[in-house]
Order: sequence, then structure tokens, then C-alpha cells
Amino acid sequence: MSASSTAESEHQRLDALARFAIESTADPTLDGLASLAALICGAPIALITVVEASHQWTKARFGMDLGPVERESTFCTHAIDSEYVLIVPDTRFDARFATNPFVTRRPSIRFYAGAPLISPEGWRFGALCVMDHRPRTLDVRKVESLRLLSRHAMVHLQMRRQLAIGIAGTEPGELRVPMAAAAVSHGLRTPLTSIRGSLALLASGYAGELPPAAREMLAIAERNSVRLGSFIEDMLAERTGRDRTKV
Amino acid sequence: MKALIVDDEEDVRYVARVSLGNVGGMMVIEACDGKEGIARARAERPDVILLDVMMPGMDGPETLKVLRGYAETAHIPVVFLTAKGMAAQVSELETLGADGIILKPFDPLTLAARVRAILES
Repeated sequence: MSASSTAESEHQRLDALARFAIESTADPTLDGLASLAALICGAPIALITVVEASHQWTKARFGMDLGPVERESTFCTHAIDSEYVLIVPDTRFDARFATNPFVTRRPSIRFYAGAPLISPEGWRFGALCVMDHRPRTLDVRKVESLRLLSRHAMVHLQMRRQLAIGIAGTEPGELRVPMAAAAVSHGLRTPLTSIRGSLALLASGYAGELPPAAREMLAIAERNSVRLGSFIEDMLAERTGRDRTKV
Repeated sequence: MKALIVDDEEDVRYVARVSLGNVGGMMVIEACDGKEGIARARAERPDVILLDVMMPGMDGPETLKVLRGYAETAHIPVVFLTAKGMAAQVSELETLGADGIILKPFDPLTLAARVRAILES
């Protein structure tokens, strides 16, 4: 795979992850699945992680309270590149991890096994992983258990997502906002924020008293920036076939 | 009250700074991307964070998750400041756990009052 296609694929993965909107709040069910993974694998640590563009964050945990970590320092960023369960029997003898601060310093992780969290569309959002402070491995049954638990975790996240959509009163199909309209919305509203904001501040006297002719010209500019805003709202409403959102 | 504005658009930051600071009487600090926003939030503990949604690199939702992950920033109220104004986009944002959403373009004369209202609600 070329570098550009890899970047494109990562962009699509992050888009899919953003659409999935995994909440950062604690989830006892997922904490339970992490505990179960640790028990089955006989490991002191188990985590369910989400790998975003720059950071990894922990959705569920057992045995270690891990905050956000820069992505390049994480094990799970490698797990999401794996087709199956990534197993590292001894991190000190694996070039990807030997100099990792989680290996060379506390908590001195020596063993890692991570099963990717795979979305229904096939995107890998993060991993369910177990870790140990000593080198070791997992037998086939435990590897399969880890994979099944990661599937359970993903199904649970999917159900939570559907529930959240239900509460928000939005049908799944409505989330697929046409990309061109979304880009137009952002591309037009952002400069309009600066234009209308600056005009309103000028009119408020923030920059000092304006001469009558300047006030007249400012009023013209303000009126027309409001017209432009209304036009943008109407155009977007028409493109998406929806009522306009109040600003 | 100390507010942190995180937005990659310099002009928007300027308008928001004047709106919250000069008009609204808040102390305002700024960051131009998610990474800097996290660093400033951790170092300076603002009372509220106004967070742009669409930023290059680390976007608003990711920044929010990281902020919620650090003990010192987990409880700071976060208000999304977004140009994603379509109803479905707003519905998506409402599920992400921010304390409020303010759409762009916003009224600079009432921005501080809206932020305070969100904090009090």
C-alpha cells in the first residue's frame, strides 16, 4: 500500500470513528469485559482503548488507570494495523516496542496481546488488550477468547451508539450528511463568523466612535452580511432537504 | 472567569477574544489547535473551554476526549464552537459529551452571556 493510500485509509478510519462518536465516559459493561479478559488470560492488566489521530484514550480498564497517551507511544496503534490478534511475547525483543517508555520505565510492560475493535464496516477503532510485567504468551483458546471479547465490546459500543441516536431523535440515515454540503457549511460559516463579528463589534463602539459616513457604510455591510448568512442557511436547507437550523 | 478559546482560525479567535474579554469581562487565553489547547488547559485550568470542532490534525471531538481523560481537565466545562450548522451534524455533536454547542457565526455582543448561561444551566 502506498503512503498516500495509507493516509487516505487512515483519514477514512478517523471519519468512521468520528461518526461512531464513542463517549469518553466510564462504561461498567466494558470495564467488566476488560476484567473478564484479564481473568481469562491470567493477566494483571487489561484495557479497551480507542486510537484517534494523535492520541490513544482508554475506554475501559482493569489493573491500570491509564490516561490519554500520545499515539506513537502506544501498543494498540500497532494492534489496529494487525489483521488478527497482535501478540508480543517479550516487548524487549521486539523492535517496535523495545524502546517504548511503557517498556523501559514503569509499568515495565513485557507482554502484550491486543485484539482490534473492528467496526461493522471493517474499520479498526482501537483494541481490547491484555498486558503483563513478565514475558509470556497465550494459548490458542485464550487468543480466541480475547478476539471474541473484543467483538462483544464492539457490539456493545454499537448498541450504545444506536441508543444515543435514538435519544437525540435522529435516524441513522440522517447522519449521513452529504459531504459537499457539510464542507460548504463549514467553508462559508467560518469566514462569516469573522466578518459579522467584526462588523458587530465596530458598530458597538468597541473601536471608538465612528463618523456618520462610516456608520452608514457599516450599516450597509452589516445588513448584507446578514443577507448572506440567510442565503447560506436557505441554500444548505435546500441541499439537504431539511429545515434550517437556527443560528 | 478564565476562558480558553481553541480555534485554528486566527480571525475567529480575535473576534471571540474581544467578545469574551472586552465585551464580556472574562480573562481570555488562546490556542490554535487541539494539542496546544490541551497543554494550555492542563497548565492554566480555565473555567471554560470554547472548542472549535473542525481543526486540522486533532479535531474538537478528539480534543474533548483527551481533556476528559486528564484528571486536571476532566471537569472543565467545554462548549463546542462550530460551523457545522446542519441539524444532523448538531445532533451528532450533542452525543459527544460537551456541555454546550454554539454555532458560527455567533453574535459577539452576546457570546459571553451565552457561555455563562450554558455554565449555569
